[in-house]
Amino acid sequence: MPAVDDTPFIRVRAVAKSFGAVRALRGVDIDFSRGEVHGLVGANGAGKSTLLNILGGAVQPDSGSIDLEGQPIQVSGPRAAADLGFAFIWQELALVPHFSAIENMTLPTRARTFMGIWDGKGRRDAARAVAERLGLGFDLDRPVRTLSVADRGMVAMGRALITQARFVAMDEPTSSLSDVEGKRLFAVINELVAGGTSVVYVTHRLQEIEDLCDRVTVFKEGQVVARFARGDYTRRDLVLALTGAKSLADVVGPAPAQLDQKRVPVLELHHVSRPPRVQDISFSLNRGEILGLAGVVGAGRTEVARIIFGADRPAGGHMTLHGRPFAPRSIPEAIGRGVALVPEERRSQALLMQDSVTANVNLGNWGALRLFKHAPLTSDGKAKRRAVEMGERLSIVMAGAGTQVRTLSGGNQQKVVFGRWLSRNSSVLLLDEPTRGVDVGARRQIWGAAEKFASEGNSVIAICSELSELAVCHRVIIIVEGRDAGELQGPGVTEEQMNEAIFSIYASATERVGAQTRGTVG
Amino acid sequence: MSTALDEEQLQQPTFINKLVPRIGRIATISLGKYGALIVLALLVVLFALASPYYLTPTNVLEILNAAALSGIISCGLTIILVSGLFDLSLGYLASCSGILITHLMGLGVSWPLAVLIGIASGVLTGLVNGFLVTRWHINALVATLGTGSCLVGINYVISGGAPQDVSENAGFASLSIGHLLGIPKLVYYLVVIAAILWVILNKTDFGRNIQACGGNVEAARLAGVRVARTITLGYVVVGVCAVITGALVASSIGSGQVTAGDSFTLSSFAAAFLGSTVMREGQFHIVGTVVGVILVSAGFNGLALLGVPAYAENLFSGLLLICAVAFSSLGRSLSQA
Repeated sequence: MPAVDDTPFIRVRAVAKSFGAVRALRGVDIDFSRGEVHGLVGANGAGKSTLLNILGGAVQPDSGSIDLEGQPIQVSGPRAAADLGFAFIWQELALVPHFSAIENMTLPTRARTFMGIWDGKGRRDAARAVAERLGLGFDLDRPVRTLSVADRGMVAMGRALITQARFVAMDEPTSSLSDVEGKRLFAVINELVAGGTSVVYVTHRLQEIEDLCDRVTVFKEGQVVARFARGDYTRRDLVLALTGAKSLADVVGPAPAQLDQKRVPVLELHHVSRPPRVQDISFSLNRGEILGLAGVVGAGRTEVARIIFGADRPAGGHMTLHGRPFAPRSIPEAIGRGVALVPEERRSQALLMQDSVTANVNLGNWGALRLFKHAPLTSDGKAKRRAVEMGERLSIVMAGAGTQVRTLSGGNQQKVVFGRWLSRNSSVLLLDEPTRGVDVGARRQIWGAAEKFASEGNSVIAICSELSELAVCHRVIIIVEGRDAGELQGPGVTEEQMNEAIFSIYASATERVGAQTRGTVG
Repeated sequence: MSTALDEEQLQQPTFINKLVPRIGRIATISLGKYGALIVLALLVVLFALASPYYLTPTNVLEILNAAALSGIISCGLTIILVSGLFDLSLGYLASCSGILITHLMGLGVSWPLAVLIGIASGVLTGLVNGFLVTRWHINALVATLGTGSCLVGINYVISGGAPQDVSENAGFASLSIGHLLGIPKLVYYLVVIAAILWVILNKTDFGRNIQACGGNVEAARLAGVRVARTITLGYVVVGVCAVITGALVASSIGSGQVTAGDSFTLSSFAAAFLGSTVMREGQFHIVGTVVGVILVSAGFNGLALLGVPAYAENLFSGLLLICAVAFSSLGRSLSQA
């Protein structure tokens, strides 16, 4: 346990901030010490991000004070924050997509030779050194847009290391990482902390809080509602503080639904491949079933979903849907056959953030909302009624169908995407990381919506890196390096079972490179 | 102890403390949303005070008449701007189609058929632009600059650089010249085409999809919008509007002029951007574009009445555009802070 001296590195006192009528922070006191990981938890909109934005200079507080090593400071802007040695690693990573990893890592530094010329060699050396510390395996000269989300996160991490930040804030860094990559990140965090850095860690994953954080602060509605130090709290304390519930019974989700005995295959994949990511995938999806795809990031799960959704064409193999051959050549064709996708990146791939709930629910479906059958005029009334209906069915919390989607919470935004497909009578729903970046309560609602969808005679394929959440699945297919490598029977598949399966298969697969490893586990 | 006092003031807002930011907020929001309208109102008042003739019905109709041609092509451009893309070829298309139509008429083709062929050439240009942008993935600015340049070449091949006189064709002239119920014919074209485009943009699948592409093209694609088809159709709409403008210009001046429509490229972009500051914050929309065009026209007219030399018009429209857009983004950033 690190020593806690009397003057914390950063002392925040009575900081308040309102956005219009919304009181995002209502007088928060919090200390961040050097050599310590400080976890922040709370529902979306509880005030964690606002606090970090204030420390990052992106937002100015209405009142309150911030001291750095006992001296009052004002963080007037992002540049000032960087000068103070503060680094921020956001969910939506602030990288320049077409710059290389090296350029991105060294962007905030002032590595220049005489007369202000860009010091290419100095930057390269600095980036190389950091890449070694982080154990980065990819080519540092590649533009970051060609890197996976996980690797991009590592580039952002590398930037914090290069600038030798004294204070590093991370907002859900593991939400796009596999377990292996997450472990690598934790090792780096521990190294940072050992060097005296103060780390702030925001997450929705309670396991990570327990594993990583020396102190935890729980936010609720703009206030601090609980503080814990390592070792003197239980998961139960944390969950109760988070939800404000009185007992755990109110919090625990419903038991996984039972699947009726006779299996009616809806979607079948036979040796589908699309190198390099998808090598050989076969499985069948039954009616009423939630089928999980588990595997590390980059195993090919998203790519399989893209093939089913008609976004990519398979190089080999074939599929059937409802007993008929299924080879969609375009996304609209797949949608026309009843396939739906809730994509990985909600903001950039699923929603018109500036637009209304109505516009988002009906996105891509205006052709079905005609005023007259044969005239191309759309009916605003029908569109609005659909949005309202979906809002009710999925209990979306919104002021009305005209509400701008960007003002909704992450969970409600995701439900809007669900509503889009529900309203189009899709029968196969592909969920790619549906609960990323949403809080515990909204997660349950999202899975609840998926269960309801399946129980109405439809089918769901769920890709989720949070393995514990795949417990809602009736079956889980393990995917390793583009091949289906095993199957776990649910309901109630546990995280340990899945981890064990993935790692044992992964280990044997990497031992016998190129060998076909197929088998049933669990 | 001044800090304690400050804190107290912050924590217990007085009436004035509450009121001032509220007025400021409303003012900044209005500045962003209604900046262009306020400028228009100010201009009208100013010119009306300076010249008693300014607000007479005849002059107001003249202002609208002068705005009509630019208005039609600008409304067309608005469609593709809403989708998040550009079209730099439209002014050259207006010139080229005017030449094409008048040249065909010179060859003895009846004017309605010539206009139809002209419109077909607009559709074709739109298809080519759409194809280049959506299938060959050429940057929209570059692709349409390329087609625009090609159109200039085609224009000279057809005309040899010479004007094509059609002033003796009374039918073609009556297309644009004259009044209907006391209102200049061109004003009807503007009203009807702006109305049609407004309906297309706001009340059809195609318009919704165009807006979705502008909002988030990846989300639109993954929701099943046929993006390439939608964008291509958007370019076709721009092409048709450009040809209509080109035909009306030729009709009103009685001849096809090689560069008659070229200046519309700049003026239509200016009008659409000016319009993006009207009532909505930085979004392109038809009503805004119409207001933008009228604003420029009202300004030109007033300056002419005051005897300001014609070259000052460009200076005026340039400054107007810069000021309106600057006000709008200033208002937006203030109201968000």
